Order: sequence, then C-alpha cells, then structure tokens
Amino acid sequence: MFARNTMARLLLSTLILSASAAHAVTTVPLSATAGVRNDYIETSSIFALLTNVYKQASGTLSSEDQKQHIKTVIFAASNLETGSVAEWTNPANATAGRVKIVMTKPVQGGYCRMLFTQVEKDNVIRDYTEWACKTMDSKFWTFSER
Amino acid sequence: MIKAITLIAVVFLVGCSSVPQSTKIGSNQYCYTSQTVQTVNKESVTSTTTVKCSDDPVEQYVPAKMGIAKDCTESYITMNLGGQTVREKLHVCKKHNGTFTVVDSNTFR
Repeated sequence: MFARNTMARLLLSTLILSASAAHAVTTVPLSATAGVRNDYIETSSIFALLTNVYKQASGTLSSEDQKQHIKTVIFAASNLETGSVAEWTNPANATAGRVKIVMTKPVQGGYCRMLFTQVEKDNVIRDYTEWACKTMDSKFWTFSER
Repeated sequence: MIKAITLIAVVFLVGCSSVPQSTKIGSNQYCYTSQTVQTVNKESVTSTTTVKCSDDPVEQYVPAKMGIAKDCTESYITMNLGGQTVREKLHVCKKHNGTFTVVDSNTFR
C-alpha cells in the first residue's frame, strides 16, 4: 500500500513538472538549448531510450554555438524590425542559426515579439516558433513557446 | 665544496635552459598591399602600389572583406545566463540581401 502511494505521488509529481516545463518562461530561447533533433522515438525499451539519448547528445549545439544563437536572438528581438532576419554561422562545427521577427504585439507594461527561429547542425535543421517578451521595468528578454 | 660547486652549476644550467618569454603578436594581419601593373602598347609599364593599414576591427571582418556584407557595426546586448547578468559585445554586418549576420570574432577574423 505504501509503495503504491509512493508510486502515485511520484507519477503525479512527474506530470506536474512536465506540465510546468512545457510552458516554461526562461531568459534563454528554447531553440538554443533543445538542439536540432526532434525525431525521438517512444521510450518503450532500453534500446529506444539509449537511441534518444544519443540523438539528444549528437543534436545539441556546443556551448559556444548556444551562446552565439542566444546573442543573435536577443540582438534580433532588441533591434530588428518586423520581417527582418538575423543569422550566425560556425563553419568549424557545421552549425548555423537564424531568427526572423514575425510580428510584434503590445502587452501590459511591455511588448512581445513572435520569432521563427531555426538551428542547424550537420545539415539537420529544426524550426521553432518562440515568443520574446519584455516589460518596461525588466532588463532581460523572457522567452516562451506560447 | 664540490657539492656547492655542483649546485651552482646546476642552477646556472637550469637558468640557461629556461624558455625565453616571447611577446605574443596579434594573429590578424595589420597591413595589406595591393599593386596594379599596366602596360601601354606593350612598351611602357606603369605600376601603382597601395599599402593600406588599419587596426579598425570592423574593417577586418571577413564578411565585409569578402564583399558579402556591408555596414558592419559593434553592438551590445545584456542577457541573463544562469542567473548572472552578462553584457556582451556583438559584431553585426548587414548583408546585401538585407539579412543581418552576427559575426563571431573568434571564427571569422
């Protein structure tokens, strides 16, 4: 009975954490950290789990590329007009990133900008849609998927 | 006495074998030379040599040198990385198609 209760609590905690992570608002765009792979398979076996771990590891940008992408996204959100594109490339790692400002809308105390972001590694490209928001009293941009 | 002489000799030898400190020279080329040679009627030859030296980092960006970008500028952004406020300098060039390219100074220069 105790074991069953513990399992239920663990499951509930995991669900709550997953739900909160899906709507996470961070100061770093998701496209910088989530990598280029999204072809993960259902983790029904150890093999599938290991395959996903490999995909995650091989598709993640290096820390310097992540920083370059973050800088490009923040530069674009801060300076570019709607419709403009900013990009970075790193031939040494066969990586690149792009960001396009799609729209801008006012929100209470600030404004939000919709971004189409793209990261590339070894000719694998992944597209993201992200929101960058900034309020008048905030020093940093915050990023979210919605 | 012999031990003392040996010790002094060893100290001297160690001193001689130490690697001299070298001054690190910047890896970026500072001056560029271009020469134009023209012949008129296959007889007279005229040549013009231009030496251009610049330590302006913006002028040394490869995209600008390659002619794929113009209007290179420096810009500053403030971001929050791991809870720490980081102020970073950016080098940005506007390409001819209107796209802005953020230049990594370590990669492109």
